[in-house]
Amino acid sequence: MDYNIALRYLPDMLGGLWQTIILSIEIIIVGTIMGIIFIPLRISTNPFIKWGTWIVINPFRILPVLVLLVWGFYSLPIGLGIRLSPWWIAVACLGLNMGAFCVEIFRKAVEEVSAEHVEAVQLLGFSRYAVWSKVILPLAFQNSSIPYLNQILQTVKLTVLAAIISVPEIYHTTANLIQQTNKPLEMYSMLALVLFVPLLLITLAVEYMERKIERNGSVKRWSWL
Amino acid sequence: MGISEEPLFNTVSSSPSVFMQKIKLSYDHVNANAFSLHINELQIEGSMIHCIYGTNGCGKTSLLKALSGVISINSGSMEWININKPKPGIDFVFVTQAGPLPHWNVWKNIVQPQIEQGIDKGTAEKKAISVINLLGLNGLEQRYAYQLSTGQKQRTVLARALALSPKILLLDEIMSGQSEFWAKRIAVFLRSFSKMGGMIIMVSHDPEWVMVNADRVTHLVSNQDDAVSSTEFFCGFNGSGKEWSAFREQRLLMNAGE
Repeated sequence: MDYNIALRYLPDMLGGLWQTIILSIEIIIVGTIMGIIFIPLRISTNPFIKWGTWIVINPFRILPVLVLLVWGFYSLPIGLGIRLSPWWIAVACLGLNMGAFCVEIFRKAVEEVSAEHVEAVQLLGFSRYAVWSKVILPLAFQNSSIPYLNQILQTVKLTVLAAIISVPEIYHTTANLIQQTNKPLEMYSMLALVLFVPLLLITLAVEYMERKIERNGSVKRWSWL
Repeated sequence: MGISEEPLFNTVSSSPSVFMQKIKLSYDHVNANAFSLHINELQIEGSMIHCIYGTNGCGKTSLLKALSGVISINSGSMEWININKPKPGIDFVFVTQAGPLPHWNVWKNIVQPQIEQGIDKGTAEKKAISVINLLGLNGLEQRYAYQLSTGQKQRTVLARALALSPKILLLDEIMSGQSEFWAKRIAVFLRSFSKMGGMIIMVSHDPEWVMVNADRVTHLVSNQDDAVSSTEFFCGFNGSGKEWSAFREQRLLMNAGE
């Protein structure tokens, strides 16, 4: 094992990590916006809108991300004549995948807001706007924060799959370095280490949020366990 | 702690009342086996503590909901006297069993609804302090719902309602979880609220409290012997709290449910 060579290529690796971070941020923005846009459609009382949205969104949740990526890479330009760089195909596919999960996370969070509380504030004379802005959305935000952060963690991990369509993120960088140096063991060890640190930070952030929400009392503490 | 000196309730100049005729309430459209409540004639007067009593699922809460306009009556007429269709938060407040909002502390739970009604912050806070004193919530202002006991939660929502100075109070089992001390206290200020011309319609499960404190009692009953499996309910008794005790004794002897 020659770790000096790994250290020598560390800047390249960190460059790949930086690309992964930018890719993740773009995917998270796309996914979150998609999630927010589709909330009103998914909680619609009209069954056609509600289930129509389900049909449109859920292929992105059901299909494996790898399949989505290769499908997007080959069929968008050939089948549909849409020319996008691999980077934007990755953003679109992973963004749609995350978005499909976010829609369900946000829908659940809104639906979990107790109907009794909503009725109670309506009976206190809150306007429709106040019911949404002061009661339903803050409570839904609280309900969704943990599953949403977990989804972010999941999405960041999935970005390495974009290497298959040669997006220059961290895994792709590593593979290139292995071809150059022919040192797979060192490079893969380095990859694991470099990925571990930021993912650990996100995981700790999720756990911190969990504890914070627990203190706010929206989650019951199972003291009898 | 103690009942505040300044008058908490505004005098209601012309006390509201409601007259119901041939009312049918049911959730038929949701569930064919749902209960139905038939009220031939019922007048609920203001300046009184009017209690609604009956077994589980007989339609007590539904009757309150119909009065508040949350659900509409299937048939019949409901006429408000001395008041145009009561508006929530202004004319009436319905104290449900939902408890305080979980993301606000006690203080905000009491102040914010007033601000939503366009009351300025200073007035709202003054009012909040007086209802907090009245209901013994001092020292609990910064607590959230999960840090309160059942009785304290109920007193918070009651305080939230009183802070809006409504003319009509619709109370759904506010006595549940109240200690004897607070049950008595609540009776005292409900009495003073009704003396000022306010209208109180409350659902209660505590027959002793009802007998002592209610001016009028409406007892919802089923015509069948077995009230447990019955789905049709009627207004079996409507009269003063004192007369009611005899009726209730008789019902208990008939074993037809409370």
